Amino acid sequence: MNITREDEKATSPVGRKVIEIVADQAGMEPGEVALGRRFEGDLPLDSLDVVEIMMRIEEAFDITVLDEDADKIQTVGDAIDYVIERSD
Amino acid sequence: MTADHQLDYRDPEWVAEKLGVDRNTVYKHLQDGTIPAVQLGRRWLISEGQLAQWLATQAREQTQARQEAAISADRTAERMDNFSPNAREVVRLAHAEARRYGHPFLGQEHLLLALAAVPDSKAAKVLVESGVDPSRLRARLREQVEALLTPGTGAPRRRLGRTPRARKAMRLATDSAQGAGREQVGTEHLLLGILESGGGVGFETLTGLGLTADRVREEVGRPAVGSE
Repeated sequence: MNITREDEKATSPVGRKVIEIVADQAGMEPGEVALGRRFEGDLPLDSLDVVEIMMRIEEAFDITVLDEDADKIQTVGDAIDYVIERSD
Repeated sequence: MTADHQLDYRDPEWVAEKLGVDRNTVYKHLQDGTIPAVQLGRRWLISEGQLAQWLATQAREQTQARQEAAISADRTAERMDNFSPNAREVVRLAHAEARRYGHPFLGQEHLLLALAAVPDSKAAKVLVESGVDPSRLRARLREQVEALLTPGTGAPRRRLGRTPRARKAMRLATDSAQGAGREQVGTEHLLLGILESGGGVGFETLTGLGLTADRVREEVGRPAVGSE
């Protein structure tokens, strides 16, 4: 896990992009998407939205999100951590 | 393999006939570099041995991709706990319909094909009570899909995104379930969502059969019938 501070994480290029994708999918402003927000429950997203977010993340960062990993990615922060880990 | 050194070359017409596909399809795949071949002048030469090897590899890869796609869709459907069991089955079947056509997206047409295929679902009952025969609806949809949408080729994608209209229909379905104070989205809400979406292959087909959102709301709203 990266020990990046929350605000640094959110303003990093990866963080910005992930937040942008999530906000767009949820029909919200990027400023409204906090890192601790859970995709399902805290944000107006369903399971298929989460699938779509994973697809868009794969495309944006040219990585593969495995199903097993996708199940563990529950918050916006988790997604950013995952991308940072995979891109290292 | 000695096949590489044998002069077992065939022409595209032979390949088309042997595989039972249109010669244009063969030429397209030759041009795309999908089918291994040699081009000498204007002639295409396809080694029978290489073709057989290529087909075997394709079969393996595509089958694996289909299995992964099916498992992935099942996982997604399983996790949709705000959907009723039948509505989850519809999501699973809709993915299967998209795979069947090799479509890279999940559309209203796949959802509706699935909705009309679960016989004991509330949506199927609503259809019947509104004078729409589910099997006729499916036949009509298949015609529409085959006429309007080009089938995909090769392996399906492991994850499918929804078309904006399918997404809209599903959001509206969730809204009507919540509006009616239901804990779960039922198949009838999905049907209503498609009709309320105002456009798309599913919407057009239902409207073409004379079904309206009001009619479905009337059926859904009947106090005697509970959401499934």
